[in-house]
Amino acid sequence: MPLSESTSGLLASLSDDLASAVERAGRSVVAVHGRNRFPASGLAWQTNQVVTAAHVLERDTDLSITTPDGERHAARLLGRDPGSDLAVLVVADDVKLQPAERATDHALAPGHLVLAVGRPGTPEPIASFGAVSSVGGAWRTAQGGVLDAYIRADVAMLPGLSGGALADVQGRIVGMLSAYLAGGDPVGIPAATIDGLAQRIASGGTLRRAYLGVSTQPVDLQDALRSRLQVAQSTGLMLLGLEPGAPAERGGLLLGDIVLAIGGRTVEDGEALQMALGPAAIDTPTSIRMIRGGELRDITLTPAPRPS
Amino acid sequence: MTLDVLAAADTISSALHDLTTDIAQSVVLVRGSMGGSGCGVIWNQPGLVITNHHVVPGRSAELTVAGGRRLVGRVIRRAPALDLAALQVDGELPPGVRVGDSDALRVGDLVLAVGNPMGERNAPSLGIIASTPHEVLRLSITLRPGNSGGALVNARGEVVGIPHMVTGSGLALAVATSTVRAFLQGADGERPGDRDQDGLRWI
Repeated sequence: MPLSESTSGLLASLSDDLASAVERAGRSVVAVHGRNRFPASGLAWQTNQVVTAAHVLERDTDLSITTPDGERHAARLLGRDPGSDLAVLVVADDVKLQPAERATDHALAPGHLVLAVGRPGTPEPIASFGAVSSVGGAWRTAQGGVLDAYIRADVAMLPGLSGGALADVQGRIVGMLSAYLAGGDPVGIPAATIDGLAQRIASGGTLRRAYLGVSTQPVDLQDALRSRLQVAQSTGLMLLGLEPGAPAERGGLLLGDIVLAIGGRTVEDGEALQMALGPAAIDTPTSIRMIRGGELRDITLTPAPRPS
Repeated sequence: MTLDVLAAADTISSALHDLTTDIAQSVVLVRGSMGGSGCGVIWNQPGLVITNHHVVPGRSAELTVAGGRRLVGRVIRRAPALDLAALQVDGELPPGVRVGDSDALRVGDLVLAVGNPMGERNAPSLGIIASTPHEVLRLSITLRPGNSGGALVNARGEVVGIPHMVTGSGLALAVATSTVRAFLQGADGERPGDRDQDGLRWI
């Protein structure tokens, strides 16, 4: 049975609209290089400012973005809020990013079709497609933050989509995607919520970061060691550098110590370390569990605010 | 909600249904003589069925065409590196598919996979092209074992790929029809790399 002209025409035009929407949204989606694995995505929010997911930045320095034209630019971390998984990066003024176009003319509701658009280091954007599942408000995240609104959608969270755009079928941005806030499922942080958070991050107000003054490397823990010490995790963070006079050094940490947990939170990689050093840890005595000389040790130290 | 909006959604639903029933005529169920099962696509050449190499490990396979008639297909060519196999069928086959240009696909284009997921005959799955098309298409779509060797069609009902692998994250891969064309002209592809290490598995 051949397809009728109108049938295939309608689907073809929907398909073209979706592809054009990906292209349009993609103009404001950049790659964010801030971890050792493949890059993640970011959203141009102002001509020199990018918002991304905080958890994809495993370090605070040596960050960069790749714009849709394929150019790579150094980026500086303005601040991050692990509780809402949002971070703000700034690039040089002459980079001239194309800020995301916002969808403002109608309220998003369950059933609306949406696209997830990212650019994890690929020349062209990547995308998935689905429907809005729910739109909620005032949500305390598992990471201790509070979002005044959030969007859930059944879009597939392809690797590297975090920090990318949740867009409507016209390619206008409705939110930024995070795979961190709901255990791998996509959560969209609405544009208006990003505005508020980004402003607070930029002003450095309530979103300060705790600071230990360490550089670390994830290391595998031998099975024999794990079973002898009754440790469940398979990796820890070995201290490779200690800043003179910083909280870690003053608190008695030594090079070669393998940190297992901070404040009762397991730290297996750089991402977990960043998440453990939220604002709540500043000036708060915090327990550090580590392996030193093949034995478990616990010490308490007090993280300071991160120097600007 | 306006009537126009309801009508558009209703028409799109009907269009997807029509597309599914149309393409299902040209998708066959394939049972390999040495185990393995999946689908095959009746190609636009007499007696030719295209499927995945991993669906037909043996020299021949039993094909069930729309309506339940069974035929035997002989493997006349295979390229393990491309995961493609060509079957020759001596009996009469339903009409073949229209083959589309996979290189012309754009990220975001709608695609529909029709196969035999978890034994559901001719079940459609809707998705989109997830990244720039190459010899293998990356799709954002939910596929299951039994989709292998089936048809991936664009919104115009033209076959653009043969789905063959999935990852755990809502991502699937399909062999592009540009690769099928090259295969039919004699290409074997390169030795399979370490694609299994990326968490990919056959479907």
